[in-house]
Amino acid sequence: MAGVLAGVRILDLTRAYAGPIGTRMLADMGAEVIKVEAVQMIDMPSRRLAYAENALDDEPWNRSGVFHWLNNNKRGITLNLSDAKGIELVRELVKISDVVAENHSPRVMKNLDLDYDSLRQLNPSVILVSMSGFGQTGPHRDFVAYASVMEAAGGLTAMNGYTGDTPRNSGTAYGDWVLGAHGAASVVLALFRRQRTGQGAYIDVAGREAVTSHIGEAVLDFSMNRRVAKPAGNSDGTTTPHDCFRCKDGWIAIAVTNDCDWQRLCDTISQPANPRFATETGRWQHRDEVRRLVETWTFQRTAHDAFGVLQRAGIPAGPVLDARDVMLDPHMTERRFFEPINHPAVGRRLHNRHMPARFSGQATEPMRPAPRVGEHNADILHFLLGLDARGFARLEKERIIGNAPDKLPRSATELPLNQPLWEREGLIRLDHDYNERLSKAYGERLGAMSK
Amino acid sequence: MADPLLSGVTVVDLTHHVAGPYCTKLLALSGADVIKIERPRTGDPSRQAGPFPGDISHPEKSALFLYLNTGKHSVTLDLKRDEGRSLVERLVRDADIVVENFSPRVLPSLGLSYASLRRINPRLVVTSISNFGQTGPCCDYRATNLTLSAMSVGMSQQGAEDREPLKLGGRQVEYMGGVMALTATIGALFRRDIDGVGQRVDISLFEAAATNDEGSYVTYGYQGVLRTQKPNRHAWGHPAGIYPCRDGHLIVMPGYGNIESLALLVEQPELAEHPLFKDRYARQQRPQEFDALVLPWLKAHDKHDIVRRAQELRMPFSPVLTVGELFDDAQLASRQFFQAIEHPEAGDLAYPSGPFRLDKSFPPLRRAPLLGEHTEEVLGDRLGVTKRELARLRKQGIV
Repeated sequence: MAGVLAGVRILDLTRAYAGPIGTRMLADMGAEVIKVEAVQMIDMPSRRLAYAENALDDEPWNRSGVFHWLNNNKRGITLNLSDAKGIELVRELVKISDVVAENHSPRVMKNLDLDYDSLRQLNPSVILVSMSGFGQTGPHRDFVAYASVMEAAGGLTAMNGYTGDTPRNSGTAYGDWVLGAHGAASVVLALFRRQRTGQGAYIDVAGREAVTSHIGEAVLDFSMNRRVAKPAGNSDGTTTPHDCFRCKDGWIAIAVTNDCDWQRLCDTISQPANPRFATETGRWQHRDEVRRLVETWTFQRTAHDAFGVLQRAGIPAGPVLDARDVMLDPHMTERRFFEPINHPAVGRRLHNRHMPARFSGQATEPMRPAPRVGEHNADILHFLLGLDARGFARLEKERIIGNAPDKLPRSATELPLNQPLWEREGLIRLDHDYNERLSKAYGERLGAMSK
Repeated sequence: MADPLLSGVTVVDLTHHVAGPYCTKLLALSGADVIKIERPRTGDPSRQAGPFPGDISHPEKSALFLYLNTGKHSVTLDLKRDEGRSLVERLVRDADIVVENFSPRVLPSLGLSYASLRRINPRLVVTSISNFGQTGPCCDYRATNLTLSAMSVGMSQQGAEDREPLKLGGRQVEYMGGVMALTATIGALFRRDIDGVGQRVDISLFEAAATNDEGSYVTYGYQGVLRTQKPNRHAWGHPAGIYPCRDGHLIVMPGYGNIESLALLVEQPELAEHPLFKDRYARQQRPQEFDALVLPWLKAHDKHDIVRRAQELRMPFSPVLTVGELFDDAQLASRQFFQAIEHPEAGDLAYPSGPFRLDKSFPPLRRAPLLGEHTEEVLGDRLGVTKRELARLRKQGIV
C-alpha cells in the first residue's frame, strides 16, 4: 500500500479508544497494522457501539460504526492470550514486527512475559509503545483511566467551563485523542531513528502528561505568577468580541483580535463607529453591550450566511457545526475528508482519515474496511507465520482463534434498545433521513441502500 | 546510552504562534537542530502574547513563547527582503525539513513556494500547516482557535443546553495541529531515508481538529444520531461526569457494570439494592435523584482520598486538578515530569518535560532563545557571512 510507512509492520495489542486511535493514524500512513483480539474478549466497548441502523440482526459485532471508525485500514486476528499457544503465536509475530503497541495497565504485559525486556529477546530492535493514563511507573501507574480522567488529571478540565462557573468535560473524549496522537508521533520518531541506527525503543506515553503538554503556557503562568487558570468560557484574554453568537438556526463563533478587525466588523454589520468601543480595553469594559450589538445582527441570519458575509469581510468567524454539518460541508467535500468505505457487513459508509495530512509524494489510497472478528487469521497465521492447516484447525477447535465471540455482554444487546429513551431525554436527536442526505451529498448510494 | 531520536536532522522553522511552534518544539525535544527564523525587532508574535511575570509585557518573558520554543535557535531575518530570502534559501539547501504555518498565499508571494524550495533541495520535506489546508473553498479564510473549535464538531457537544456552546480551555485546536504535523513530517522523513526524495506535507488545522469527534460521524452515518449539549449527562451511562467534593471537584465514573463498587465507596453497601443502582435506565432518566444518593458522602470527603479509595475498587475516578495542583501530584513528582530551566531574562521556571518518555527518561529540555540570539552563529559559522556583512544587514533591517 502506498503511504509513507509502507513496509512497516505493527503488532497492535491495543483496545478501546486511545490505543486504537494511535494505531489508526499509523495505519492511515500506510503501516500494516495487525490488530489482536480474542474470541473470549473482543474489543469493547467499540464493537457494541453504533450498530448500522441500530439493528441487532446478524453478527452485530461486525456492524459497529464506532469499531469501524477506530479500526479501518487494520487487519484483524484473534488469539487467546490466556493460553500458552496464543502467547507463543504473539511471540512469533513480535519477531517479524517492527512495532508493538499496547495500552494495558503496566502489570498485564509483565504477567504475559511481553514486557520490553522479554520482547527484546525476541526482536532486539523492536519498538514498544505503551500508552496508558498515568504512565508505566509511579504510585498511580495502575489507575484506571478513561478520557475524562486523563483530561482532569492533566489540568485541562479545571480550565474548561463558562467564566465563573464549575469545570466541564470535553464533548469528544479528548484525552483519548491526545494520548493516541502522541503515541503515534513517538512511534514514527522511533522508526526514523531505528532506520538510521538499528536501535529499538521503549516509549512510555502517559495520557495525563500529554494533556498537560497541551496547556504548557498555563503551567508556566503558575510558575511565574502563582496564578491558577480558571474556566474562562470562550474568551481569550480581553479580546472582544470573542465568543459564540446566536443565529437564526444555530450559533456562530466570531473572534475579533484587533482594532482593525473590529472596525471591519462594524462596517459589515452597519454599526456606526463608537469611540467607547474603539480600543480593546473599551470593548472589554463594555463587553455586554458589544455582545448585544453583534448578536442583534447574527440573530437575523443563518449561521451559514453570517459565516459567508463575515469571511468576505476578512473577519475570523466559524459556524458551530455538528457531525452532520461537517459531513455535508462543501469545503470538507472538496478536500475529500470523508471517503466511502465498502464493508461487507454494512455496505458503503463514509469515514474520515485519522491522519488527514496530504503527502505530495504519495498516492492517496482508498481506505480499507475495519476487520471482522478474526478476519485475517488465515492470512496472518497461515500465510505469514507458516502455520499448517492441521495446526490451524486445532487452534480453532481449542478456541485459541475464531471468528465469533464466545459470549456477548448484556450491554451489547441491550444498549441499542435505549435510543428512544435517549431521544426522549434530549441526549440525542434522531435524523431519520440520514442515509438519503449523505447519499445525495456524495452522489452515490450509501449505507443500507448500497448492499 | 541511546542516540537522540532526530540526531543530525536540521529544521528551518518558519512558524509562528502556536500550531507550527508546537510541532517544531517536539522536533527540538527529539534532538533535531531547529533554526527558528523570526522577524527582526519584533520576532514571533507569541512574544507579545504573555502571560508575563507580574503581567508586565516583555518579549523575552512571554509564557506562551517560552514554553513553545524550548530547544530552538533564533535567527532574525526579514523574508520580505531579497537578501533575507536568499539567506533562508541557503539554509534550506542543507536542511532536512522546513516547517511553515503562513496562510497559503504567503510563501509563494515571497518567492519561497514549495516548487522553489524543492529546486533548491529535492530531498527536503516541507510541512505547511494552515487553517483549512492548501486547497478548497475555505483555504484563504481567516480563523482562530475559537472559530476552528466551533467548526470541528466538539463544541456542538460541549456546554450547557441553554447557553452558547463552549470551547475547551487553552488553544487545543492549535496543539492538535502541531502534533499531527509532527507525525506526518517524520513519516515523510522516514520515507525520504528510503527512497531519497522529499515531499510536501499539507496539514489543515480544521481537519486535524475534526478527527477528534468521538465517533460522532459514524453515529450519524450508521444511525442518524446527533448528540446534544447536556451537562454531566452522557447517552452511554450515568454517572459519568464531574461532581463536587469537600475540597474541589472530581470525575465520578463507576465504569460499565461496576455500580456496586460505588455503593461500597460511599460506605452504604445496601445502596446496591436501591432501584436506581440496579436499573441503569432509571438512573439515566432520574439523574438528580441518583446524584442525591451519593453527593452527601462526596461532599464530606476530600478529592485525593476519594480517588484513592475509588481506584482501589477499580473505578476510573480522578481529581479535577488545577494547574497549581499538578505540582503537588505524587505521580508526576515520582516521574520527574516537571523540569526547572533557567532563562537569562525570565528566570528560573518549571516546564512540563514532554508528552512521552523514551527508554525510561525524559530528554533534557533546553530553554527558549532570545530574539536573534543565534543569528551570528548560524549565519556566520554555517553560511560564512562575515561580521561586516552582518553589520550591514542589521543596519538595513534585513537581519
